[in-house]
Amino acid sequence: MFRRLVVLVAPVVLTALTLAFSPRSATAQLRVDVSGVGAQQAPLSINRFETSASVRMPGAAPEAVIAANFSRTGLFDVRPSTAAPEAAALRALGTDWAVTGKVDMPAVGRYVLSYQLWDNVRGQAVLSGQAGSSAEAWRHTLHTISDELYQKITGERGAFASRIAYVSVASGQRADKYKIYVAQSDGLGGQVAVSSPLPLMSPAWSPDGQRLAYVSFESQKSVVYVHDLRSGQRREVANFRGNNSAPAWLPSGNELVVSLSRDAVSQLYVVNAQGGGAAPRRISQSNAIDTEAAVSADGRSLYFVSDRGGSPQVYVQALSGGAAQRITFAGDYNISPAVSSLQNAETAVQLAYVARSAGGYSVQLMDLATGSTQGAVQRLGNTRGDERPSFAPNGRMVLYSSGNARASQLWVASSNGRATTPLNTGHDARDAAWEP
Amino acid sequence: MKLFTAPSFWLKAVPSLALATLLGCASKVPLYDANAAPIVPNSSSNSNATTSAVGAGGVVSGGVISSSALGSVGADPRSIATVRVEDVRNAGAGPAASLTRVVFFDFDSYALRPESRPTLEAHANFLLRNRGSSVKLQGHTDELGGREYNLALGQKRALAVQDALRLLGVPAAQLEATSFGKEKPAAEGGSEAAMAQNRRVELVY
Repeated sequence: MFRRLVVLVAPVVLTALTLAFSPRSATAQLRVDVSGVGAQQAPLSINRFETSASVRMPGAAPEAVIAANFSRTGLFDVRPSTAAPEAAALRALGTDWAVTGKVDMPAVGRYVLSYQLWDNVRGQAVLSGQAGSSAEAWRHTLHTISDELYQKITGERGAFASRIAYVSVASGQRADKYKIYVAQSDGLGGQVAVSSPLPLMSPAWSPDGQRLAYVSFESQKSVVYVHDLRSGQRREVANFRGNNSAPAWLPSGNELVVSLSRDAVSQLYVVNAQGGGAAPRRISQSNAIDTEAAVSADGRSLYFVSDRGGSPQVYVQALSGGAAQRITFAGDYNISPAVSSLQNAETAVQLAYVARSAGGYSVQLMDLATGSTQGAVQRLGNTRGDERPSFAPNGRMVLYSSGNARASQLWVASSNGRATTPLNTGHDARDAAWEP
Repeated sequence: MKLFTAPSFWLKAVPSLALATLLGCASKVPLYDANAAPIVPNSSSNSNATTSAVGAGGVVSGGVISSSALGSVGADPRSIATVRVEDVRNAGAGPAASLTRVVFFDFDSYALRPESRPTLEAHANFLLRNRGSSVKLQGHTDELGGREYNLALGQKRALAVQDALRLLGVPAAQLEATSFGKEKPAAEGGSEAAMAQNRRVELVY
């Protein structure tokens, strides 16, 4: 019990000490406690954006989208407000931060959003910006503004303007029964990248965000494709005898780790992203099922699922070679690892995965110090039937789906455990991946 | 004479005559029996009932062999019968439709059940007698558990069937083990009965 407490408290203490002695002005960062479970949420007011009667908003109100974005991070206690947009009035709200703004429409279909961030402790505006937008780009522009505000407050890059990919399955037999959508980080604005009458699964973003790798059964077996999103061009990168699946990109964007059963039971191999059918390079060594590789951002560590010990568990091994070490020890079924590093805590690694217990399948988050294979675990969200967690590019949020074969929905949980939010994509959604 | 013109006579007589005709045929090989002796080309002592060849002479070509049954009692020697040669490569039908093309598995298991053995032996016999035929062994799981791990589990089920067929002598070239994991259930719904139907390997020709 005491050891657990130390593990939880230590990062908080260490971070506080680090920031206290940081050479940079850490005024803003100190008030957003960026570490650990049970962190305090920074109170943040978001003012209703001003507009004139002649302006018709082409989409959701800016304050609604910005507020929802900040809430999903779990780092903020977001409060709507309508105070006058000047320092004293905003300071009187009693929050640490305030966001104000205005929408103008200089011409039909052309919008200009002006926005300000106020540091209520210092009592002054610390950011003032302006963004033009068409009607079509409205929501995306609001996400971009949210990122700029977030970065100013936390010092980290925001993840609101990034994209997600997910699989959607329609009922009945149809030519487009299975679809992979690319959507905004809040689940809206989905566009179909590929559709098929036969199953699609495991979409995975290339490091440059321009391509998706995925598994398609269109030729009556699992084959891994790489698909250029802008052109729609795609090529087979793994179509060997048996299964070809679980694509995971290496940081160069030139190679992928895949799980192949060409030598009987599923093992991990590296293949070229250009395809071509050259012999793949085997990188796992077991007589068991090895699959679901996840590569660390620095490209050095490979996390994966193996049942070499008798049940599926998460292991880690160096991509340069060497023995695999087991990481999950609780329960008899731990799968679907995702790995992330937090920008402001260079030594910390987070691992998200799905654990099966008597109650079903649920997403877990483990904090790992670099090189460590033991860490504190917290459960994320409150659903059963969870599937495939995927980190936001800044590591602050985890995207996953929950449901069953018939109906599934996307969720975002903050990595500090404080916020769990369902996403409304408008249709069945499962097997999701967040852009890196 | 009246006897031979009466309809009632023919109603009784024709089946008897037909039966006599069949019994008079030289062969005793029943209709497409997977356990029957191999067909020898151009032999006049065998007949293969997948074709309707009755006339003199036999034809050997590519696929299923048709041959004659000489001396069919009652057949007009001047008439000829059509020979329809079936190319097994295009037929795609594989073994007889009455042979089941699926084997089932217990939860979390890829062990073959004892009751699957006769089915697999029958498929092995077909493949051994039809060297041009190949079968895809498609493994499936129920809907519980991870997508990728289930894809690998389905593959282990397919491999279990593949290993059994190999042990029965079927060459590897005629077999491919693949998996759909939990992506293509046979039975919808989350009941135990539906899930039991989904834990399977399908033999697809």
